[in-house]
Amino acid sequence: MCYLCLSFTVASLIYFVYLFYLDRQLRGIRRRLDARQKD
Amino acid sequence: MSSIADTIRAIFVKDLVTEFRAKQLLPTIVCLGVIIAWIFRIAAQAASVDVSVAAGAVLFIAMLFAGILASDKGFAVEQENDCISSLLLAPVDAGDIYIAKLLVNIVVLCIFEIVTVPAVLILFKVTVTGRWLRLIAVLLLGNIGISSVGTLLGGIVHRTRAASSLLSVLVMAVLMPIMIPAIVALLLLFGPVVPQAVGAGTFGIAGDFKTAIGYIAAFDAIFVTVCWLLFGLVVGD
Amino acid sequence: MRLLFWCLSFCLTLVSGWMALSVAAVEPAEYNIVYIHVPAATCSLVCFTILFICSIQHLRTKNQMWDHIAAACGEVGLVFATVLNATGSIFAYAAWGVWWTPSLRLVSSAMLWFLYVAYLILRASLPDQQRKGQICAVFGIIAFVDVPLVYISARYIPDIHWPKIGFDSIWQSVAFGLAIGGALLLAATLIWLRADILKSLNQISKPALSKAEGTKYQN
Repeated sequence: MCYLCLSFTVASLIYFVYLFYLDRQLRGIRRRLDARQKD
Repeated sequence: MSSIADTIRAIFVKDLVTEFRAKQLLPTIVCLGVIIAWIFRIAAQAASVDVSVAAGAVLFIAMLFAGILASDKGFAVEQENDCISSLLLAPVDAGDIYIAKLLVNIVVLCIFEIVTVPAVLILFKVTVTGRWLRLIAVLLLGNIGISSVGTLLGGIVHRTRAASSLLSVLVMAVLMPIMIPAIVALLLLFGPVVPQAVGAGTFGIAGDFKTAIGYIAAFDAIFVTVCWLLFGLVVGD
Repeated sequence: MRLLFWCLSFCLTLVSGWMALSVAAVEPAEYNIVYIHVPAATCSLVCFTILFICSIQHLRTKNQMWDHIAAACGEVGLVFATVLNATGSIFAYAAWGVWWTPSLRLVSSAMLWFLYVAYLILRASLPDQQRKGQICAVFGIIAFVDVPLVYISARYIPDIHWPKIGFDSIWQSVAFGLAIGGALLLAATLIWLRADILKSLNQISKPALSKAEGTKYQN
């Protein structure tokens, strides 16, 4: 049973790490677009 | 209008003559092969395993690293004086360049094996009396496989000026399907004691020599064809 | 539209997860990992196939969008291959007592992971130039040709992995289908999102144009 929970945790962790990475990329794009608008 | 054979022969002879005059690649890879065999022998001795089991794997690892170095150097020589540009400007098909470079790598690997295989046989206390032809067949097919992928990926790495260490990663990732039958064939030839498959955690090897050779030959054919077709896209502009 | 995909994928995964824990539970409780493991396997192979198709299309049409989708497939496929290997490893420990063993499916999955990593390393180490897409497409084609070859060659090794999945009840097959559907939708959404991000990054790194010029190149 604990292996089921462990695998669920690990899988969710991997998916959420990737979503977090995508979020960082989007923030970076937004930041650069805003910096461009300011110029 | 030179024929395909003339083109291939010209590039092939050029590369081999360059190498024999410079004497940079061959001594390096021969030393590398012998040192790899030596290190594994000492490690196997320290671990007190039956050393003949390791012989096949060590030989293939040495071949792999030698092949990667040979592919790398094969294109590195073209960087001097920007030879690669003149090669591509000449009215030759990119596929012919690929076949010539492939043959050069195969020949270099064969010369490498002439020295390294006896070294491995001596160091690991293995005899192959009566099985020489099969050993030569395995080694030759392995050379073709390693060179086919190595030539194409060497072209990629040098044409785009990426780091040379990238080549090792790419070649080893792609060459796995040749690695398994080749090591199986070498292990069958060197005749070590194979542990029986008794369940999870142990490694049992099944299959006979002919099947292994068949697999390596089929994969070689696939890789050579695919890489030959794709080479023009890699070096073209 | 992408929000719809997110919600749908989330719902499907939740429903299949609920079913996996209640009506569609597999006998030894740990084996329910299969509801996470098999969808990840399917998605990673599907991502590789899409990568292959996009590579061929990029070489044929030289349209940059195919390259962006291929790059996105590489990353998303790596995520799914990581989940595949991680859950597979935990499953292996639960079922057989070893974290990993050189068996057919495990070797093939590990090689799939390494091929994704090699593709992404190649992509990252090429300097920015217009031929980057072409080179990565070439490697994508070679890597895709490699995947079935790994599978065939690893047949030398006796396989302790279950060859087929037997369904005990209709609920299990439904839960299974929902899980795979949810994961495929998730993969599609992630690829879409990542490809859009790459397209935007590509547009941003072009030199900044004045507003009047900017509207001319809007695409």
